[in-house]
Order: sequence, then structure tokens, then C-alpha cells
Amino acid sequence: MNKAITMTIKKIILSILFIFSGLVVAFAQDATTDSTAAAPVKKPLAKAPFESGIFMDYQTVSSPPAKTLEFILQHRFGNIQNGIHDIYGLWGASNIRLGLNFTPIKNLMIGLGTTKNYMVQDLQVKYTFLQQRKGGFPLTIGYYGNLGLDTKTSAKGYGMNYKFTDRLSWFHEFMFARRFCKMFSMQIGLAYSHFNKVDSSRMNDVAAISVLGRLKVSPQSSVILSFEQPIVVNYDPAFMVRYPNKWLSINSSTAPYQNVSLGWEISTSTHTFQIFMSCANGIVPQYVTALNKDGSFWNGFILFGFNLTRLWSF
Amino acid sequence: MKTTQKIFTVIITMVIAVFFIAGNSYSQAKKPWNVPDKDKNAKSTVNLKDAGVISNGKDLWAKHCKSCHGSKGLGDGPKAASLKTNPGDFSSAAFQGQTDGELFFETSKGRDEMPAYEKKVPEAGDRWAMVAFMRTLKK
Repeated sequence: MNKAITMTIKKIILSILFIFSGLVVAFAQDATTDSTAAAPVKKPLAKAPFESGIFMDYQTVSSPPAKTLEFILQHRFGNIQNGIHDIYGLWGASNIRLGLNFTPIKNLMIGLGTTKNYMVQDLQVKYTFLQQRKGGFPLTIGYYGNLGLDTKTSAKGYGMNYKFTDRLSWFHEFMFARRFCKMFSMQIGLAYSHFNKVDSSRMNDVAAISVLGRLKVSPQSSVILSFEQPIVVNYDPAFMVRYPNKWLSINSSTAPYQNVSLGWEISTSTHTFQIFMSCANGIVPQYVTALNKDGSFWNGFILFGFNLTRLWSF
Repeated sequence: MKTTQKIFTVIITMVIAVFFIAGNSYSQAKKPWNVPDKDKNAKSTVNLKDAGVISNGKDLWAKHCKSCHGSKGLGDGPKAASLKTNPGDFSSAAFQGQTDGELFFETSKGRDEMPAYEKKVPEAGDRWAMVAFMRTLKK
């Protein structure tokens, strides 16, 4: 069962990469090589597929306009499993992140943030390098990267060799989004996270496929949902040689749980509000993807959260 | 001076003061825009009568404009009461009598409490779509 699922996931990843490379070549060939012909007219840009660069626990291909400062407040309540004793997580163990992003030029966003759990200080960058066009290129494609520094974990338990670099973690994601119509947009993300040092219950490297969907129900409101499937990557050469079909796995004892999120988004000129239920409280992307071991959605592990952003234009 | 005469005098003075202040407030709303001639005569890059363009403009209005100008452009949005400037009545003949270029310029550049929407809505076609929607607010 694990082998069949792993092979299926490998095929999906390779298919997406194949389709993407084919689309880039096909549209590159639109450019004429005849020096006497007129330059091709660029098709107009399609509207952005998402109202905000943040989407519950994930990033989207969208960034604010150039010269915009964005403040982000992300809050995750405790999980609901304690019931009324902590009012379904409202007064349970929470996590919170405060962040600032800036878009110095169109389609490039840089940012930093600080998060309560593990006292993670993070830097992030996002670049949208291809945009969907009306009657033209069908996707918006972007890259997102995050570097996290765990400033809370004590060296105790990790031994004498615990170094500063052991506190670092990384997250890389390529995002492929499409605005199908005014009412519906979707994004597929291929992500890779790495922790320099983890305890024995986790793996350093976790890949993931995420799917985000937005259904616009009014000019300012949308239903938003997402699903992420983590894939543990075991880079031990001896392991890869001995078990060539097991170096990717989704249900080993070290595999993080899937993340299922459903919520409501309201977007105005200067604010975006998202309130939702989710299964991961990490907030920082690599912590959401790779360290989500608190509980499974299928076993009723759910928590509520909200994101709030505010924009200033310069 | 008898008491009733004093009271009458105070009331008349207060009424005059109220009209004076209201008149000043009204005159603030009448502060003219200085739109350059080339912008007054600017032509739209999209078809302002196209239903899709108007629909796009309506969505952008709902997101960016409705909170101050109201859903029908009557200047009665939820934030309007807290503004120093009267957002105006976009259904009026005075507003609709402006050229498309004037509306586009005022939307793009803003002034005082009104943001410059060329930063929030960077695509010119989208701002023209907002002008197209404003034309539907006519009485």
C-alpha cells in the first residue's frame, strides 16, 4: 500500500513538472524568429488568482502591489479536543506570528517575522516570475522561500555538538496557480522543507504537495480550503540503496500528518481577514509541513485560527 | 432686555451659527480638482459600455470604494461619517458631468483623505473599469 502510494505521488510530481516544462517551451515558441515580422503583442494580464499572499497556513502566488508594506498577524488557538474545558481551544495553548512584508518592485516580496512557538525568527522571499494572461499563458507561477531560526530550543538533549546552525530550517516552494473564472481560483504547491537538526521522532527532510482552492461568493468574501500531503524524504544513502522504493514515504512513524483547512476570507482595500479551522499550529511553513505531529484531522484534531493583514501604499 | 427676548436672541444666534458652519462644511466638499487638460481629454483603454468591464468595475468598487462612497456612490459608506471631506454624490449631474478622463485622474491620483488608487489598483484598465461603473451610478 505504501509502495503504491509512493509511486503514485512520484508520478504526480513528475507529471506536474513535465506539464510545466511543456507549457514554458510551447509559449516560448510563440515568439517568432522572423526578423521582419512585428513583435508579438502581449496578451493582457489576468486578474490575480488570490486576494492576498497568505492563505490560511500557506502562501499564494499573489503579492501586494509594488512599494506596499504589509503587516501580518497570524493566530492559532489550541485544538478543540479539550472541549468546553478550554472553550474548544479558545483558551488553550496557542501560537502567534507577527510579520512585516515589503514589495520593493512588482512581483517581489521580502519579509520577516517572529513566532511564539520555538521563538522562530524568520526571513522570507517570494517572487512571481510568470503571470497568467487572458487568452495566453494559463498559469501564474511563483517561488517562495523561508529561512527560520529556532531561538528557544535548548542545547540540552542534543548533546555537546549542538551548534547555531542546528537551529536553522528552510522552506522552498514552487506554486502554480490559475484563476479559472471570477468565482474560482486554485493553486498547487510543490514544497520542500529541511531542518538542520531534529529529534529522533522526526525526519530532517519533508517534501509536500499542497492544493489550495478559493470560491468567491460575493465581491469581498470567499470560501477557502486547502489540503497538504507531506512526504518524508530519507536521504540516508545506505537506506536508499537497501530500500530503493522507500526513500519517499507518507505513513512512516516519522511522517507528519496531513493538513486540512477550511475557512472564510473577507478582503477590503487595505485589509484581508481569514478565519478558519486547520490541523497544524506551526504557522511558519516548514513547521506546518514537517513538524505537524500533534494530531490527525481524521482523528478529530482540529484547531481554529485567523490571519489578519493590513496594507500601506507608498 | 426681557428674558424672553434674551432667549430668542440666543436661539437666533445659534441657528445662524449652525448655518454658517454647515455652509463652510459644504463649501469644503466643493473644493475643485485641478485636473490637467491632457488628463481631462484622456480616452479609456477599455470599452466603458462593456458588461464585463462594468462588472469588473463593480467588484473593484466594492473592495476599494464602497466603505467611504457607499454602495451606490451617495457618499454614505460606513467610514463617510468620520471623514473631514464629504465623499460626494456620484449620482448627481455635477459629478456625472465630468469627463471620463477627469474621473480617471481623480481616482488614480486621489487627494487628502482619498488614496491614490494608481498604487492600489496598478492596472490602468482596472481603474477605467471603475470609471465605467461610476457611470452606472447616474440617477
